[in-house]
Amino acid sequence: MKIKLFIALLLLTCSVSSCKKFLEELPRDFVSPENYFNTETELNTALNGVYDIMGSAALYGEVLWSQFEVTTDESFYRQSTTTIGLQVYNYDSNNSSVQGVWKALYAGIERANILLANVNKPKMSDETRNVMRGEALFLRAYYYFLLVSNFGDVPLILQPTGSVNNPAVARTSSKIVYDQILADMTTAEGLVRPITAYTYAGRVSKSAVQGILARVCLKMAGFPLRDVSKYQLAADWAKKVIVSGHHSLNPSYQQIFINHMQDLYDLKEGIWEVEFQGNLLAAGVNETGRLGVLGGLAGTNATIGNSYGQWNGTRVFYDIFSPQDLRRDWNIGFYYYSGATTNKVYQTVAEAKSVGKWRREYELLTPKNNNYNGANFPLLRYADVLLMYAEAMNEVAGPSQEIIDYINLVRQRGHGKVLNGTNIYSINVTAGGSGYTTVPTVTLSGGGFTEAATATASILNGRVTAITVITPGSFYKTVPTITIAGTTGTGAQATATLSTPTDANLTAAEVASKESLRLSLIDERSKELCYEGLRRGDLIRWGIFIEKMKNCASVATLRNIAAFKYASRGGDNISEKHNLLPIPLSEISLNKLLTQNPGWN
Amino acid sequence: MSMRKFLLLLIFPLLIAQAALSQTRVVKGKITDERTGETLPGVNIRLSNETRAVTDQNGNFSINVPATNSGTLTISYVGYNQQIITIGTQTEINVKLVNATQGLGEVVIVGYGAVKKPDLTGSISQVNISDLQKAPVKSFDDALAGRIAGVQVSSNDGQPGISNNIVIRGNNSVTQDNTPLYVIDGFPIDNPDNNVISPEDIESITVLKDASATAIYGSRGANGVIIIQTKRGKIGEPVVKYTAYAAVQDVTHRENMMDPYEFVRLQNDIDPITTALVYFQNGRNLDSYRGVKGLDFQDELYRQAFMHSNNLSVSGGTQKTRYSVSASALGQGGVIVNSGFSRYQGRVTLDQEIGTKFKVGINANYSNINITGTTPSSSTAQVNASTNLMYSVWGYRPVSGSGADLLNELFDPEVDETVNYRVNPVISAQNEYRKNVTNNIIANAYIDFAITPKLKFRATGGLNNNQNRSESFNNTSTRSGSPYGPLGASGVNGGIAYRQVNNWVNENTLTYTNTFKKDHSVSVLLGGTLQGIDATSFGYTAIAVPNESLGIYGLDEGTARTISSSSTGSTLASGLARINYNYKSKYLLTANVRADGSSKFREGNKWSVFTSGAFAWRMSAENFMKNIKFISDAKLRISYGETGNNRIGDFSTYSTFIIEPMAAYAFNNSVSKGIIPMAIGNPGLKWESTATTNIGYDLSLFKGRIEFIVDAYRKTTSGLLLNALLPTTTGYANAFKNIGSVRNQGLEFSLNTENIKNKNFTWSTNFNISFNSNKVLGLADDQESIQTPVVWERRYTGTPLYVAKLNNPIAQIFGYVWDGVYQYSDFDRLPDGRYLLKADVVNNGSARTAVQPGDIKYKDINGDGVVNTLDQTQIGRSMPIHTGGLSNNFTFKNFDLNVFLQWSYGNDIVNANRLIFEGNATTAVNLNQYAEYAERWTPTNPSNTLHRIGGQGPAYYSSRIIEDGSYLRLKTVSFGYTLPTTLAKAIKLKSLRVYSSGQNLLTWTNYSGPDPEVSVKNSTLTPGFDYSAYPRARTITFGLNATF
Repeated sequence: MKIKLFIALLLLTCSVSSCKKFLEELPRDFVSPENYFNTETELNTALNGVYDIMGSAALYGEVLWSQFEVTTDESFYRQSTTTIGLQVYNYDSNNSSVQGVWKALYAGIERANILLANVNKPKMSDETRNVMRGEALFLRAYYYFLLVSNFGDVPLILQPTGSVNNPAVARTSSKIVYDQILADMTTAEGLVRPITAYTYAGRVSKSAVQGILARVCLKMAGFPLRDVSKYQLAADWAKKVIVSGHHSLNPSYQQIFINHMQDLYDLKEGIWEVEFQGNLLAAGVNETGRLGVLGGLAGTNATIGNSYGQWNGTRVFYDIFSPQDLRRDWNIGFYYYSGATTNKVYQTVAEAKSVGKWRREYELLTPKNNNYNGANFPLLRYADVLLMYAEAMNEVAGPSQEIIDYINLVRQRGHGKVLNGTNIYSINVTAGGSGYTTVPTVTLSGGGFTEAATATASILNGRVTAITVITPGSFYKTVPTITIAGTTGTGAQATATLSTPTDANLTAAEVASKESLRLSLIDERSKELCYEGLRRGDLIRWGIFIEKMKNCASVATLRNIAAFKYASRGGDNISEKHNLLPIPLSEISLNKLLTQNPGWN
Repeated sequence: MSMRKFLLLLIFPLLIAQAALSQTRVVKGKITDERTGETLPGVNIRLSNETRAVTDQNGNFSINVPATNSGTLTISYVGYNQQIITIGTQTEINVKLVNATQGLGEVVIVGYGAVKKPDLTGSISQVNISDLQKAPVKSFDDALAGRIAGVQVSSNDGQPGISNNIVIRGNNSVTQDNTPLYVIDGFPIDNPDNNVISPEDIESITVLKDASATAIYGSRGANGVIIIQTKRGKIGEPVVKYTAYAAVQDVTHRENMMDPYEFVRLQNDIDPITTALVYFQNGRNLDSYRGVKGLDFQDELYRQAFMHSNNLSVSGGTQKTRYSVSASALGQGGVIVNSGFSRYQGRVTLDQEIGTKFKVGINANYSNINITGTTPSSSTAQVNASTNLMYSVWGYRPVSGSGADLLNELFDPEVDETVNYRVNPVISAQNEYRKNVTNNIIANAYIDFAITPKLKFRATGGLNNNQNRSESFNNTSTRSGSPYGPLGASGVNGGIAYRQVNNWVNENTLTYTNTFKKDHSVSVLLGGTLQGIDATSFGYTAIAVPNESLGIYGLDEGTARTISSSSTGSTLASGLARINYNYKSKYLLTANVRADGSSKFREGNKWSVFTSGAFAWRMSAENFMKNIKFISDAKLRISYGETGNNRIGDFSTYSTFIIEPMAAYAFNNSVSKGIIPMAIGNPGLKWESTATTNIGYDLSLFKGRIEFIVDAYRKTTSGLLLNALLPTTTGYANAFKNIGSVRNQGLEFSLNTENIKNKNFTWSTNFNISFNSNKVLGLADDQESIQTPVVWERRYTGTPLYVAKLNNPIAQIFGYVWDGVYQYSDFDRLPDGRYLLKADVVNNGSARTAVQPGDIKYKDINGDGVVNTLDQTQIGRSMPIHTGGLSNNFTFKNFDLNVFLQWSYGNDIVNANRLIFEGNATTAVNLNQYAEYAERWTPTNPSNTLHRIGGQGPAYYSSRIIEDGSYLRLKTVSFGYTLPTTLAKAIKLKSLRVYSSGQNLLTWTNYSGPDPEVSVKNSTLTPGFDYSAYPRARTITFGLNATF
């Protein structure tokens, strides 16, 4: 009786079949991967998702080139109070930025894995499908490259995560990971489109894959694998870019970075970039970065663009430039903006100068956001390809005219030879004079220039102590006359020095041997590619990271002015363990198969 | 033969005689108890013309009535409500009498029914509603704390309109919601907005605690159940009731900040050069600031706030029709300018009998709620302590030095706005427009059908529709809208978000009640229910709004920023059954079973069955105890059962692949949207289940004047629905898993006494205390702990503050052990004058060379000579050892007094305010500090408690800021005077009570912060964190309750 009633009651409430239907609820505002990937558009949308990781704050949106790279032999973190953190190499395996990089890269890998698992699902032309497959394969390999080069052995996961159960995966030896990277990138190289198919630098093209392959091979040839057989392979891949005919150097070094700030493309030089757009003040979605905001020329003026000026060039770095090298005063700016004004304040002490490679005053999008902008981040430039080729070939066969020429191409561009010819690179004060209470005007006259040079004086205790070249001018034929005139003071005199047509080239001593050229290239890569997120990796693969940082620290301790002695902090703290990042503590606690890198326990 | 029967016998012949005189007919009938269906002997039946009849042993009566114009029957019986019935042409009139004591303790509302109090088998508590309603609060949950053993109620802070955190017998879930299930007028609902019900409308609140009581709610019973019944019409003349009160609210605690002299001295210690430029111009020096009165923004921001409540109701009814109508308006100003709460609410109930077998009823409630004002406890723009309102209130400079008008400028000229987001808190509170509007409709209906007197069918249907609109607007006088501020790059901006939640339910039950052979009574409940919830939301924001004077309505002229939309929903189907058996009310048995099917789970896991059983033994009914005179009732209760929890996302079993605005890539500088996997689904998810054992003892002495209840319980939750962390190599940070286990156990005592009871004076006391402790028995694979940071200040975001560790309580406070301040004796003096830490003295997390005399010092727990993350340990317990309440009621003639105290003992609070204002952990300049910080370490004042300025070391949490959060609070005092009936009649009233009451009157605590009842980042994993809380107000009211 009761059972019948119970059943009757349930039947009244809902019949068995309708009840089953009643308890079926399907997601309404999101899809699942299983019911996606039906069309080419959907595949492409998923591919955008794989790219998206590149611009995340944990990677090129900020952290990968800022916290991880601010302290090398090229620069230090301008915060005397910072005693803890990546910026001073005082951190542990619980560091959130280290976790962030790891997490973002594996998120990208999962996205690529999902795409690759479904790439054959949509009905579409196989040609387009293969291009997308190539891009996803390459990006996954690039994420693994960032992982393996930073963390050493890492879990190698090539299938989408199917289940939440048994998520622990052990580390795979670096060699196997590198082999997978090489294999995937090589496959991708055959699938993706040539760079001529695009008008913008954000897409993975054949040139990008080839150039990055060269980078991967160079890393494999260096620390820790030291598989020197890869030098030849590196040279081969770099050479493919060189002979493709699609690339050349931008005649102006500065313009490359102005282009970044203005969101302009130059595919001849800028082969692959992380694309950013907008500044969070424009309508719709904005993909923003922070180039020039964190580093950059300090100042809070809203029209010029706020910059925290958190990076200063090191004295060591300043000193490797020859005075004729225009890259020095571009990369390490020699002025900042006074507070919220547009007044430039000129710096004369090397280690007091803030990094000026990317300058917000060139940004076009207004109003400017204090914290974010749309400047693209360079991942691969043609100059890098030339230098990689030269480095690889030097290791294979020693100096040759071919690679010397390539290096000189880069150096001549850096010295402004193509654009400026002979110019004024320095003005020496020969007599300080007296009675200068206001800064006198410096006038250059004569010399038969195309574009006039300009300069400004600095005074101390009534004397002119220095004259800074603001613009070096172009195509001077003779040395101009310097006139120092002001409302106060008399007697200061100065002479200008002109550059020469060959002062950019490698010297005979530098090309004398494989070793000397190697040393020269170590500096050259820095002069050309500083702050582009490459230095720490370069130093590590050359096996000289710790040594260089220690040297940098002792120079800072000895030679820096008192206010910047703290610049030695990074080098003081560094030790062998810093050749690898620690495996994030949170990962180790959740995955018992993981082991920690040496020195990080 | 009793005297009464004898008299009746005497009257009877008279009636017969009278009947013979005129044309009459006979009306017969039976009188039964409405609830139990028992027949009632000896009931008085009176015809309008004084003719009387009385029911016999079987409840039957027979009465002669006039053949025409029969009139009405008045039926009365001691302990029952009187009923008046129009006879009309009826010849048989069956009447169900309603027990007048229902809801006053004799009968206890339980899931799907009611039980006589002596027959209870489970652990069930009732709130003393008349006491609760003496508290001048906007909603019942504001006054619930301390009322019931085992029910812990707390609010995050004093924000107007804030909802309370109610936890019954400890937290079961680690990452998921632990709030109980609410059953409001029979409508089970997970997270109701308690503000929609006027506290005046509440008839009863019952809390079901153990599994035998909650298992009838099966899958949702694990967190306990709160059953709320609202008032309905009662038989009788219309009763018109008007209640009103007006109140003032004040802030009771103000921080004592540095005066101008100490403030300038502090700035001088930080940076003498800048300080000289700002403060020592025009011949002024430090001494010039001595005795200068400073600006205190607490005076400007706080106000005495007004509160008022008006409530009008009409109710009444006849045997067939009962009704009630009520309306209320409540307005509560916030003690911070421009904040407040208001509610306009109306309610209608109707119960109608149709014939003798059917009864239908409806019940509808509408509420309109407005909550306004900025939220001090949340960061307004970035994760930065300086964006919280109270940061600016306490930290603002007391003196400008330069003559700048600090009071009327939005930004302080001496604050670098790019690193410190301080703004004038008054201007910002007045201009930050925040409004949250809720419109809620609850509509319930039922139909009862008495198939036979013993078998009844009931069908109910209910709808709860909640529409919420959240508006925000920042004009140019706000932090994020001012073009001059660092966060103001977006210009004037605002947004609006709509959310609609629809809950519906249909329940059908059959109840069978019978008594066999006099001593065996059985009641059986069978039922089936269907329930569903749908939620949708839409929103948009805009920046660069050109016409700020238009406010929120000018958003369309700005630049669109984000658009959001979402939809979710779930369904639940259930079958339930319960058997109550009792033998002579001596041995009582209850067995429950409920089968629940939820759409949240996949095929194979959708259904689960929850069972429970309870046994109670009323010892007082045994012969050996019957002789003990002073024991009026004694009962032992034992129960065991399983309940569940399904509080995960509606679609947590599905992997989420979404196109999210931020997941895009800017190919060729135009954004291409990307689709990304946001979450990995776990198709294998199933119910979380909690097994509860409860042993209780009820003792009632001296005719109920002393009532003592004790319960001991143990709840073990297994297969936790845990938002478990995953190794991020999977591509995901977490996923829901049925993993881990938690145990709660505790003791509860309640004591109700009537201490004095005589004609003019009565004194009664209710006391309760509860102890609960919990322990994590298991977590995700291989996981030994969950470390949780609190998001409030950028520098601390990476530092965990709470840890849930295996075999330890869920949320322990975690950090470094504070060891005072480094003194000169800890250092070697170098030839160049610098101080270097002695080799045998540990550092404080900073590099050894950076540690200086006056810096904060921590203990090296593991003794490895270095203070680092390995030296973190448990530095506080976040859960109280015991909580409770003490309520005393006194009446003297027409005066009444209620005094209610409530406490929490043994819990610690993280006073993060002290990080900012007692040591300046963010190294902000021109930030005022607590006055106590004047005694900080300086070379001449070697304090061992307050570190030097700049000596705070790395961003660590330490035992320095962990404080005992125990408190005893004089929560409510109500003093009233009821007019004597004669006087009331003179002014045409049935009754009138005038009173004054107070809320949060006094608090005894050692906690140094504004208020010990605080948890601004409240979650199971992060309780008891205090930073920039909305101050809790003290309320003093004057009111009246009048019946017409």
